[in-house]
Amino acid sequence: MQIQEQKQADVMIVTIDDHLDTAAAPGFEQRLLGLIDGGERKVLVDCGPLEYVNSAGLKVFLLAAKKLETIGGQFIICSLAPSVLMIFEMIGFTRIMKILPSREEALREFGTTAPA
Amino acid sequence: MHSERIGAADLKGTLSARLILWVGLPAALVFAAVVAIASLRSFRRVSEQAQARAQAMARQHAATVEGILRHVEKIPEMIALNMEQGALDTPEKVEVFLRLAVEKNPEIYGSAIAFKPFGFKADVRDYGPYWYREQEGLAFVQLGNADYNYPRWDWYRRPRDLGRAIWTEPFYDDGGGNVVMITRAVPFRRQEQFWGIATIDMPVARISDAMKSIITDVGGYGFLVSKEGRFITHPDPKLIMNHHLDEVNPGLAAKMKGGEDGWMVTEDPWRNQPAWIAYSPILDGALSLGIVFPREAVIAEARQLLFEMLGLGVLGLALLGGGIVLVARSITRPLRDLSGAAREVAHGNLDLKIHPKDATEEVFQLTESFNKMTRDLQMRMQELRYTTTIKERLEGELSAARSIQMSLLPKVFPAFPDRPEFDVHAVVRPAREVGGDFYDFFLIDERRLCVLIGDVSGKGVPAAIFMAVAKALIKANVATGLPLPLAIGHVNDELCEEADSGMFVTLLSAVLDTATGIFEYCNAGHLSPFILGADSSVAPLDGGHGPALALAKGLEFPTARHQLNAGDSIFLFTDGVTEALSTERDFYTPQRLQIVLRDVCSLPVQRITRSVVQDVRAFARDQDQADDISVLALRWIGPVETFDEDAATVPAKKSPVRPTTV
Repeated sequence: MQIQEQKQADVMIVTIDDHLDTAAAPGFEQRLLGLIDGGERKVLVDCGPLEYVNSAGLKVFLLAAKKLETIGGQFIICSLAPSVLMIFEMIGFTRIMKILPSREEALREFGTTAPA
Repeated sequence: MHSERIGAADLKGTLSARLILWVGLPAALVFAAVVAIASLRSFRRVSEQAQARAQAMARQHAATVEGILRHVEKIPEMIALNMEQGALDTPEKVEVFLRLAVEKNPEIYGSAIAFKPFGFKADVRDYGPYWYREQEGLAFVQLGNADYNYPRWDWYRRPRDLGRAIWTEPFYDDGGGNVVMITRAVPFRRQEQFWGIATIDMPVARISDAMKSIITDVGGYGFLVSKEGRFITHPDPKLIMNHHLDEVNPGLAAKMKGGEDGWMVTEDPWRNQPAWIAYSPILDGALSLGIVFPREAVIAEARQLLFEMLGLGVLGLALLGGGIVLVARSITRPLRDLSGAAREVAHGNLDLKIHPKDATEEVFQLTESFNKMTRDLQMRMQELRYTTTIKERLEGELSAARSIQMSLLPKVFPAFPDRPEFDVHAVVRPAREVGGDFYDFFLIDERRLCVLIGDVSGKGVPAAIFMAVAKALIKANVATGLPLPLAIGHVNDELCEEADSGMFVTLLSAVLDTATGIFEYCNAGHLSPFILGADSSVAPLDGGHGPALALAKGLEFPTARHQLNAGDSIFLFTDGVTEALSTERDFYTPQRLQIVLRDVCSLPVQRITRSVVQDVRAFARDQDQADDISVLALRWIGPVETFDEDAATVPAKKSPVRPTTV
């Protein structure tokens, strides 16, 4: 699993690979939670390349969202492929997480809602 | 172990074989060369020595014999001188003088004076007085008789014709003493004219006595031949006078008759064997003396030397070989010990320690390494045993958790044998790792049946515990008889309290009114079930969508309703089915599931569930099953006749709420 990190202003952008399954999930979880524990408060996960995600992978998004929520951070997921978005919708993630079509919109969202 | 099967030939032999090859063999070759050169030299030296000695011996004996003969030569010369002085002018005087000569010279046999015809007296034609020895004393005979007729004999004619003294050929004197004689004949003159011959006869026995002393220390012998090659003396008396050397050895005969002094490697003229013969002339070739050395005897010394050297050499080589083997053994013994020890270690005896005796530095180091290796092995084995124990314990605990989890699922079928209106069957095929699939079915009351299937995100013991909690919460809330949306909402809120682990549950829960066939379902983030129509139609039941459980508190969970026809079935499943992977890394997909369901939809529910699971397994083949596979099929067979009037109350008395088979 390839995970790329890129800091843009105060937003940590994490780009993930095409496959987020049971095997890949623990690595992604460690990486993402590590960033949050390291002080990142605005985290954007760019799921552009993501083609497949199972429940183990979905768990990581939920964990990160809950964690940032409790400490007053922001978690946005962007660029979901239609098939993946369908899963997110089915699970109900679209109701509890901010999911936006593109990275630009996500960054704009961080900007407008940035804490003072 | 493999090395044991390699033949000794592949390894080019043992160390001792190699040492013998590279040390022993060159030593043997050098030794062989030394023996060859030394024996060649000793042969040459021995033969030179033998030759020199034989020739010296031959000359010496020749000189001895010649000395004897030269001594007696003086007697006829003295007689001749007396005759030429003319003092002896009567037969009496001549005969007395002659008798005296024989008497005074015991070494001679006899002596004669033979005058030329009518030389001594004009009236006597042949006058030849001869004195010789007999047993009683001296005897006299006048050789000028008709029987003997001396003028025809060589001893008379040859010196007369040659005008000088000669030694005659030996002859056998059958008249005299039956002995072999040799005669010295000396001519004498009167008035410058040949007048007569003075002779002495010498018995060859005298010379033979001298020759007998030639008994060489190596088994040889000496012999004399005359100028004509006749044997005069020989160890075999039969040969004497009767045989010629030419008959047995012409080559040697030619040399000896020619009066040569020399040495010859040839055949023994007497015994049939190779011999070395030294020869030397006597009296300017009148006789020739030969000394025979048997070849065997001559080279015996050299041969003995050769045998001694060979013996010593073989002994030395044997000692060298033995030494090599001993050294090789002492070098390889610790190695053999090590090899045996290694085999023992390989069989599991790690406590083995080896203590090399009188080992070389290298072997000592090897042994140390070996002991260290067994020590390390032992430690590693202990570590391994320890980690294996831990792993086994963990695996044991996991499998205990797994079996506890699985025991939570109802597995006794038919589940409701006394309820003809519906039939339900479920199959779970757990993955190796602990997963989070679960299903359940129970009667809320006499009329309503709850069925559910769910999947906890994640794996392992936390997921199993979460699943157990979720299942218990669902049952507790649904069984209260609350409307389904409310009951699921309560479950969600309570699960959100549970943990921040990020785990969530997708759940499809449904309530079937067994009297009416109304199927109310709530899809909390789960895969849509299929409805299998009694008319063999298969379609997803898309509705009642809500979020998964445990995402957030306060979420709402809508439900949908579907009116079943008698004989319709509902098929519930988890993503373990649709996301099963083939060896080509393809998903099973809902489409394939739908096709399979179309084939089996009219079969009994247990056939439907098992067929699907079998097809999934056939699809995945030997791919490792990553996730639990769970399926549940529910068929509403139709309302029971007796239910038409008071369906809610009458069966309730007969059959109370059944406990599930948890």
